[in-house]
Amino acid sequence: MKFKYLIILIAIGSLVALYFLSLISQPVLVPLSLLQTYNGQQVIVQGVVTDYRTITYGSQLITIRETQNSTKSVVLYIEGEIPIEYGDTIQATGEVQQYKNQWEIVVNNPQLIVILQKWHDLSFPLWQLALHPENYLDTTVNITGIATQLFDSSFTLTSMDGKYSIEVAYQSSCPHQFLKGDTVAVGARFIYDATTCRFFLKATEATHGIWKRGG
Amino acid sequence: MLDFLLIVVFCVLGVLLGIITGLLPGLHVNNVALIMLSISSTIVAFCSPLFAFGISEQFILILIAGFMISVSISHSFHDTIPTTFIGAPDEETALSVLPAHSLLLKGDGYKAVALAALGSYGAILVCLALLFPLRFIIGPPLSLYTIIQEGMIWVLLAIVILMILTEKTRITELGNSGMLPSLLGMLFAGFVFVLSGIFGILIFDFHLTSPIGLPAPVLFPALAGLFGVPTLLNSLFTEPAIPEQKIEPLIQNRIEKKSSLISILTGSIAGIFVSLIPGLTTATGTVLAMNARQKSSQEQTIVTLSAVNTAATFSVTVMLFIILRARSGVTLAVRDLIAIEPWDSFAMPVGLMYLLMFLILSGVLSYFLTLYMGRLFAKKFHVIPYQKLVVFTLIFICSLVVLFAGVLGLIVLLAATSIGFLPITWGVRRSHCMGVLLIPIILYFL
Repeated sequence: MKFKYLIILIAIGSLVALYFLSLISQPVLVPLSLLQTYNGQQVIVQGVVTDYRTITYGSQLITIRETQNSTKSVVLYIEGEIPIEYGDTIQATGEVQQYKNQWEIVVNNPQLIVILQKWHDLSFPLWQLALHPENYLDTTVNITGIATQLFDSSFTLTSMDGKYSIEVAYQSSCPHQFLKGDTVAVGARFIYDATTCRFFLKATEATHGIWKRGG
Repeated sequence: MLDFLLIVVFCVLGVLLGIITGLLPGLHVNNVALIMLSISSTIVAFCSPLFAFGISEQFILILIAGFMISVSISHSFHDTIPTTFIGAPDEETALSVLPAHSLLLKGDGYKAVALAALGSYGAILVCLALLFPLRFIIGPPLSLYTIIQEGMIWVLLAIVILMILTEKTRITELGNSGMLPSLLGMLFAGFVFVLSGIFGILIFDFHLTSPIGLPAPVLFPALAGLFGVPTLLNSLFTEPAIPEQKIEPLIQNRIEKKSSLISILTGSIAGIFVSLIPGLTTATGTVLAMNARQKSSQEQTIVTLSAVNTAATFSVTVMLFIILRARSGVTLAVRDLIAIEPWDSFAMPVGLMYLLMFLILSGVLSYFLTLYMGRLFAKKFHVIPYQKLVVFTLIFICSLVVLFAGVLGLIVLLAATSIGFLPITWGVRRSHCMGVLLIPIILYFL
């Protein structure tokens, strides 16, 4: 067979071989604390969104924090935008790079970001928030408790056993249909106010709200 | 005064390193940029005695960024020397011969280098002249980039269609009459493009690792395989007879001068376009420029290609400040080193002003050094056994691939080489292999 025909077969064959190789050569899931050892390499990271903003020409910066027992966080630089919210758990595939002495993950394609869990799909009681505030700080949470003291634009959310309580500040534009003593689910951002040295929940966005629960 | 002196020193060092990366086939300037980025804190520490003389850490980071820019400009001038002198096939048997190789086989290798240096230097002057118009056309108020960005998918598809439909090779396997050979040529060009695209989609999922901890960009073995290695292997198999090279200063008559000016202008505009659109490379830019330029000689193709190459290298730095997009490995590294202040008013950001000094100075230095190195190469060239030089270059590229990307990188190189051989054996343009970038990017915009 002439070389010019043979090379077509070799080229197609090499692509088939590469396809099978690509199946076994996937980036590894890396804890955020070990990013520096993967400089310049493609990795997979997972975490909860604690901050996100759009920068010039439609790129997005998302800060994620490790989900379990860690305060490590990393910035994802995304060429494009994805619709996410504070508190969403996401997985990203991208290249580890150093930017101004900070590690960041450069994600070339928004399709390489997968939302593993929306924040409102994970509902948990107030005591869980009280025991591990560092795991939820700056994220949007879906907390259940009892509405105790009511004020004009805030109320106190108390745990079922009455041991823990937190102030919930909300805007009138947020959905809120409840009375004193109702069991409610609060979708709000969990924030620390350094000036008053206290944590509180802030419901200000369209997706936030206070919903009455049965029982 | 000290700051200006430091700019000159870092620029000269960058140009010297650019000569090395440019002369060594396979050693891409992006790899150097990544290495420089990883050792930037060490360089700052090494330069810390300068703090006592009022030099700030930020300025040292600008010097490192400028150094990388100088390497890339010098590289864009000097890479024409190995491109000309290494990898030429036997002209009698080869279906496609690069214009520089064609001149080499006529004993005009130095002329090819001089024409390329002219194209590159001219591109720097054109880019400088267009600096402010570009700012206002691409950025606000005309905001051309925003318009292009909205229709990016159509721009990319139009470029692909243009590249394939302007393929002029006739494939006579199924007959030699009518439109069929031309149609087959275009179909085969499309086949190479699609095959390269599939290759691109596959490799971007690859997880390469350097055995010695260097940055491992997958595009390095891919592009070396698609464009470099097949040319070298073809040269090795066909054993060309290289004549002794003439060393005469480049003298052009009035018509040739006018022609060179048009080549530089079209090449520079194509280079600027390349720096604006993701996935376009100088190979694609040259096809666009040659189509705009229409009929031209081998000499003018060399001038155009070099103008595209250097204009793109120059413009990516400027675009970093206008559209805030890093379109090359070097600008990615620069973006990580210094704060990029958007150029959104008439006044130019200070960072860009410094980098422009590097661009201009390195361009002037590189022009004269390219001519000098070209003369040196042409003089000593016949002393070196040509086939041994090609074999050495091949081994060198393979070694670099293993060092940067490991064994998996070598597999990527081999697969890319098999695709890169298709244009050479069938005579279609090699730029169709740029499907490796264009198809994944088109899919991204879909």
